[in-house]
Amino acid sequence: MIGWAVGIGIATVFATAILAIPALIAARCISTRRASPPLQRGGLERNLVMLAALIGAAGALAWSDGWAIVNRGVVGWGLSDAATVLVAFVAPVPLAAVPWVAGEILSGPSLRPFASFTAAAAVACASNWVCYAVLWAGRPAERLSASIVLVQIPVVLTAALLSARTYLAARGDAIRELPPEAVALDRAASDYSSSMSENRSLRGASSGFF
Amino acid sequence: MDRALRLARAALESSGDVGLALSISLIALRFLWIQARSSREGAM
Repeated sequence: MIGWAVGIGIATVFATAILAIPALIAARCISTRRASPPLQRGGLERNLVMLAALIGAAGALAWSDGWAIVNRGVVGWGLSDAATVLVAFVAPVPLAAVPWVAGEILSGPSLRPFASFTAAAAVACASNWVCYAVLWAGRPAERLSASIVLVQIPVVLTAALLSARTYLAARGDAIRELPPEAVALDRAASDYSSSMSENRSLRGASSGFF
Repeated sequence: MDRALRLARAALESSGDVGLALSISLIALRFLWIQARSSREGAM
């Protein structure tokens, strides 16, 4: 159990550091240095973000299964084990980064970029981990057959669509569409909230909603 | 024409929800199938 927890932690940190953070930094640089974004926030932009999430899901599935096939025997696992572990524990954070990057590139920087990515990544991780637990955990290794790939498809689609929905719900308005006072007020409220949480936790009180 | 465009737009905007519902349903069906198969093997 401890080995599984350590493995999940290492896989998540590795995927975040190597696969997600460079894309996030590049998208942030582009979106903040550009004069104006190509699209306004609206139905078209939301649909394009969802479409990007679907394309990201297809890419994550192809990458996971392709890596498992190419490196067969290297890690000593069966093909189905390697493919399902990669889908469940390495793919979620990059999957959550796809709609974030698409949204920030298409319509400019959001009011809450960090919170929206964190929430989307948490939702994608939870979705994939639950799916792994109910579908694949403890099952014997076998060939990477079409039936396994057919089950992997709804798993990555669920994670991608849920993370895109979470990003769209949590990102807030585009910074360019807001007056500077509103942005400053939101950041001050966020700083005040985090400092209150720190004070409460230092005094041993609950740092939750109550 | 206008109605068809409205319908197409509504279908496009709800396709994410439909896809999500379909995906979760497929995962649930697969889980139920695994449970049924393992209980049948346990009984034999």
